[in-house]
Amino acid sequence: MAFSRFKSAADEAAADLNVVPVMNLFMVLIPFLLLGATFFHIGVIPTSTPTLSPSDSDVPKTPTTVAVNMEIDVDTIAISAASVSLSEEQLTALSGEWGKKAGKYPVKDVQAALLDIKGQYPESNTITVLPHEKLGYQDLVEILDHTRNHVTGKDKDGEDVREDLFPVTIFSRKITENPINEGEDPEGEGEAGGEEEMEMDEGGEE
Amino acid sequence: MNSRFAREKKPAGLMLTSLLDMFTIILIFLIVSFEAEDYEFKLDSDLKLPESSAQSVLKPAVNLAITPVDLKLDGKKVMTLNRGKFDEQYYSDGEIPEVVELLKEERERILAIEDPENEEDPAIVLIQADKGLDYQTLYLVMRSASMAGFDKYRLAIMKK
Repeated sequence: MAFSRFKSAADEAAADLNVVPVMNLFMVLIPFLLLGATFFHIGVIPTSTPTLSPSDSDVPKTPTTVAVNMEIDVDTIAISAASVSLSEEQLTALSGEWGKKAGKYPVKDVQAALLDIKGQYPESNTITVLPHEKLGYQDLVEILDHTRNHVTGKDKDGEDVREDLFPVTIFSRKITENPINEGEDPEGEGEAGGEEEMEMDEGGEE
Repeated sequence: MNSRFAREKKPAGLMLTSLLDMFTIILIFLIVSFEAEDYEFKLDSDLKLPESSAQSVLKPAVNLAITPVDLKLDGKKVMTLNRGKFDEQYYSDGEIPEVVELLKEERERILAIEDPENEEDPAIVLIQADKGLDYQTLYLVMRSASMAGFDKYRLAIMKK
């Protein structure tokens, strides 16, 4: 009786795992991993600005491509297309202008129009963006999220599946003041009241 | 009777099992979120990046940070801003000469060490800009970089 009692106590002692070394290992590993852990994910939006180029204008010469301009004004957002192989009527049909709705730019409407252009001219991938000076950076990024790609569905993990729309973004700016005259324009970039007139490379990158 | 029970009592020990379980869960979480990146990116603590659904990943580039109070090139303060705005003179000039000069030097340094067989233009600027800034300020910095020979930019964003 007494013997069996001692035996069971011994077994119990042997059954207890010594977890202290494992704990020590964890105590070293966890601070190390905490230092290298990323709790936020940084990405980038590739963009470019217009550059002076000795080559021809960037306005496409093939009927499968159009160059899209997007003007973002204080109250409106407008898109227009340019191509040397399309008539004025065809280009006008691709254009559109939308006013703000409840203080927000109607990015979904703009995206639908861009999808339409992409459907007709699938090789187009460049959009020149001309925001107004006071446009907030966050608002600009939200608009770009809708012009660069669009959601086509969900994958098996529930993540959005995206398809490129106009992934090459070129930033430019509108000249709001009339230049005094062409000869005095130090950069030679302004025609009367027009947009920045520069020949552009497709400097965007993916 | 009492003395027998007293003899059988084991010395009090720490119950480490639940602690071990907790540590195991933390360890698994940290291993999953651990990302080994070959490019060390330092997010400036004085700014908040805009949120975006962009999926492009970070690549090495010259790091320009524009906070509401200053502009930094690779972590070194270059200019001071007043509530997210540069001096009015820079806007009317269309460039920031100090930034142009520094970026010109940076471009020369990059091109000197760059492999000439590499077809991709190495002169790229990574812009970390506070989400509260306006386009005018952002464009002024991009234009200054453009004058120094950088015409490609990567706008840093916080992935949604």
